[in-house]
Amino acid sequence: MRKEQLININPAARRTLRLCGWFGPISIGICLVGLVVAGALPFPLGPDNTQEEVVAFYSGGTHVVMGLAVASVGLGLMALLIAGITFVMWKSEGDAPILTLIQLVTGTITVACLMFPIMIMAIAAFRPGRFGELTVLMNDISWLLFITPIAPFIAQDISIAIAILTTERELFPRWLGYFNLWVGFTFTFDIITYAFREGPFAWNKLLILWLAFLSYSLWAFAMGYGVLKAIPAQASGNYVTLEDAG
Amino acid sequence: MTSFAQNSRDKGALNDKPDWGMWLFILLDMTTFGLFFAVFLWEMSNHRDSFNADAAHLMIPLGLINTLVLLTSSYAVVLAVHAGKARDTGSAARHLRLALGAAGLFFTIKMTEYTLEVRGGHTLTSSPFFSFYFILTGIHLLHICIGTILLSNWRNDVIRGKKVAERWMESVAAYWHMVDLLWLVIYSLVYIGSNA
Repeated sequence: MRKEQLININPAARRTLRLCGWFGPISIGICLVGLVVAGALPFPLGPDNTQEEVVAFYSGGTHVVMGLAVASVGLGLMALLIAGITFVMWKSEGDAPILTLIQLVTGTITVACLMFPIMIMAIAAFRPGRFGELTVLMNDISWLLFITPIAPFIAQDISIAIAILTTERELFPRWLGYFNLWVGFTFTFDIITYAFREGPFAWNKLLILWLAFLSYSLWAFAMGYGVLKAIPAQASGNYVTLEDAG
Repeated sequence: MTSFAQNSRDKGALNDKPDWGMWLFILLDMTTFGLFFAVFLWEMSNHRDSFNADAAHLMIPLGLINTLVLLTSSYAVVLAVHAGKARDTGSAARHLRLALGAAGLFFTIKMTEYTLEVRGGHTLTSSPFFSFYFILTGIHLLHICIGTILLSNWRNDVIRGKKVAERWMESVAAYWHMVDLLWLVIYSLVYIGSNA
């Protein structure tokens, strides 16, 4: 079945779907800018930082709280990409879109699990004059919540991969299925960071934070590209408009 | 919903071109392991003495047996692919059973090794070397488990007399050889290199 027949939507819906695809890279861009402005990147706080260093970071000024707020907005906007992926998968799967539903639920949970920790960081920076131990606690909560809830995202990757590699109606390119399997793999070992307060497996190190950040960013770009590529260049013209209905 | 293998097989019957997406996955997966190996070597260069001392506690003969077991399984998978292409289902099923048996043996030996190491006081957080040991071999074991599922799926299709696409057989075989190759690097670096 041709792409034009599978995604048979009116021009306004096509524009919205295109926007959903673009919000993959846009969300990552906004998040990156926010984290850099806040000073959380490129040298994030680690579990081995002292209480004074943690308090000093969150007392850094308005740019810290506002940078984190912007980053949380960027990650929240990732929900648009999830919606776009959901629509394309639903059209691919047809009558029984179970994998699409798994992707929708797990993708939504993942967005929440990424957004809330950054908001907790922003709250920590909102009133940094509290007892230092409380700020350290909030910092631990936010970073560990940011890194370790891997199950929903891995389930999302696997559901996308199975849908792409098994469905007869290929709306996403086949390589994107294997790519999702790899992205899921790069998150499998992140939970070990609970066991390390220093060394190469601490939450702020290359194999944990940076590998996950890189693979998630690549995923957002690749899935955004996949959604955009799934939209046919021309509408089939068979959709029903309000004028036709009236 | 039809199974992953069946759909891949059906699509493969229509299109038996190489599955470039699978090669992309293998490249990315090996790059990720390469990153782990690079960090391992960096840490080893900074803690040479402690890495040497800890590596002396590893059971090199068990690692060597597992190396031979995996090499045997890889050879069996090669023979299964050849048998599959020649439509010799009996031979394909036999060789896949051998490969699966080897995977099971590898898993059993690895779990025995973990048990002995933990009883010896070596755990995930006991030292930088043993952190790498458990994490590297752990994620490799995860790959073994995934490969076992893929090989079982392939063998089930062969036993049921279903036509298995060459593209599917070659993709599973390529994955299994990657798992084998990664083990050779892990054995060389963690068991032998750290002990040298």
